[in-house]
Amino acid sequence: MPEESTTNEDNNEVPKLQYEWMIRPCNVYDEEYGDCRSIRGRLHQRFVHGSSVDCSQWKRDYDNCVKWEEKKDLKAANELIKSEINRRKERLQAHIENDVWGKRKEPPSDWNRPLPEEMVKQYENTYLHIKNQEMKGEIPPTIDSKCSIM
Amino acid sequence: MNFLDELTKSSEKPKSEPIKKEEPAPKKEKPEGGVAWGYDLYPERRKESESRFANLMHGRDNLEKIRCERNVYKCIKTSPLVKLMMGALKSSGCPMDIRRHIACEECHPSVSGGYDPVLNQIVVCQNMATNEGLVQGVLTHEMIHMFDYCRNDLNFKNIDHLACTEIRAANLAHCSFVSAWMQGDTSFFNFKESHQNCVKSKALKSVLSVRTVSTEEAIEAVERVFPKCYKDLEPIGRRIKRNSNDMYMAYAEGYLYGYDN
Repeated sequence: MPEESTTNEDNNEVPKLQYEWMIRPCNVYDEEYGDCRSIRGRLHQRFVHGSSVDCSQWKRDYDNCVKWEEKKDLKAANELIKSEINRRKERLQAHIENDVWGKRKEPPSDWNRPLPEEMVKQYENTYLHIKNQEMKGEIPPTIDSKCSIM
Repeated sequence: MNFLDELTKSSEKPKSEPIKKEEPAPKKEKPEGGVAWGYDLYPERRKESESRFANLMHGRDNLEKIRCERNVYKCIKTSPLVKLMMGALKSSGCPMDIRRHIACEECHPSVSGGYDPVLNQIVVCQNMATNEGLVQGVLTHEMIHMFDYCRNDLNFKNIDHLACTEIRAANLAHCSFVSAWMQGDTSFFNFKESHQNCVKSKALKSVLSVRTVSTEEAIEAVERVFPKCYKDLEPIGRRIKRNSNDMYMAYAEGYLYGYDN
C-alpha cells in the first residue's frame, strides 16, 4: 500500500512517497489517453476485443499526475499510484494464471552451454563476434561507418 | 467456430497453389533417437557436402551474412522491441550474448528465421530477412520463445507448450490488421474480434512447420491452450499496432515490471 513518510517536519520540504518511482512522466498518460481514443486505436480495439475499451482511467491519471507535478498534491499522487498498482496487477494476472506450463524456480542450466567447436571457430572473425566483444568492453569500440575521410 | 470451419473446408479441396511455408525440404536427419523433430529447414547446420557450383557462390553468401549481422546489431542497439526483450531476458536471469545466441545463416526459402532449442540459438535467415524491419520481426518473435523457455518449464516436444508459445509470438509480434487481411483471416465484413483468427492460423502454421503432427492434432492443441495463452502478454504488455508509437510506449513502461538493464 502506498505510504508517505516525511523525512523532516519542515512544511516546505517535498513529502516523500514510497512508490513515487511508479509515477510516469505526465505526457505519457496524455499520449496513452489520446491513442486510446484515436480512430486507429478504436479500430484496433474493435479488431481485438470486439468493442471499444474505457479510456477514462488514463485521463484521470493524467489529471492526477499534473496535480502532483505542479502542486505536489499528495491525494492525487496516492490515487495515481493506486491506479498504477492496479494496472500492473491486471497486466500480470493473465501471465500468472497461464498454467499451460509450470514456472521455473531458476533459469535453465543449459542457457549458456558452449556451442560445438566448429561453430565457435566459424564465428571467430565475424562482425557479431567483434561487436559482442566491444559491447562487453573487451576491445575498444570501432567507428562503424562506410565513409572514409579522404 | 469460424476458424475451424474454414480449415476443414480447405482440407477437403486441394489448393491450386501451395501456401508458403508448407513446402518442406526433404528430411536429411532424424535427431534425438529416431523421432522426427521436424523438417530440415537449416541446411547449413547439417553440413551438406557442397557442389563446385555452390563454391562459386560463396562470395555472395558472405556479403549476405555480413549484411544480416549488421542488421542484427542495429536492431539490438535501436529497436525498442528488441531492447525490451533483451532487458526482460536479462532480468529473468537469461542474459543474451549476441554471438552465442544469435546466428545468421542461409536457410530454406520458406522461413525467415527460427529458434533452435537444441543449441538455444536464434537463427536469422540471411537470404530471407534482408532488411532491418524483417530482422526486427524475427528477433522479437524468437526472443519471445526464449523468454518462455527461460521463465517456464517449456518442453518443445510437448505440443501444448509449443502451441502456447507460438500463440504468444503470433499475438505479440504479428497479426496487424493488414497482415491478417492479406492472409484472409479478416475482412471488412467480419472485422470484429477477428484478430484471434489471425493469431490462431499463424500459430497453427508455425506448429505444423516444426513438428510432424497431423493438422487435426495441431488445431486441437491450439484451441486447447488458446484462452490462457492469448491473454498472456508478457513481457511486451500490449499488442503492437504497426507504424505507431506502441513499441516505444511498451519499452518506456518496461521499467515498471523490472524489464530494464
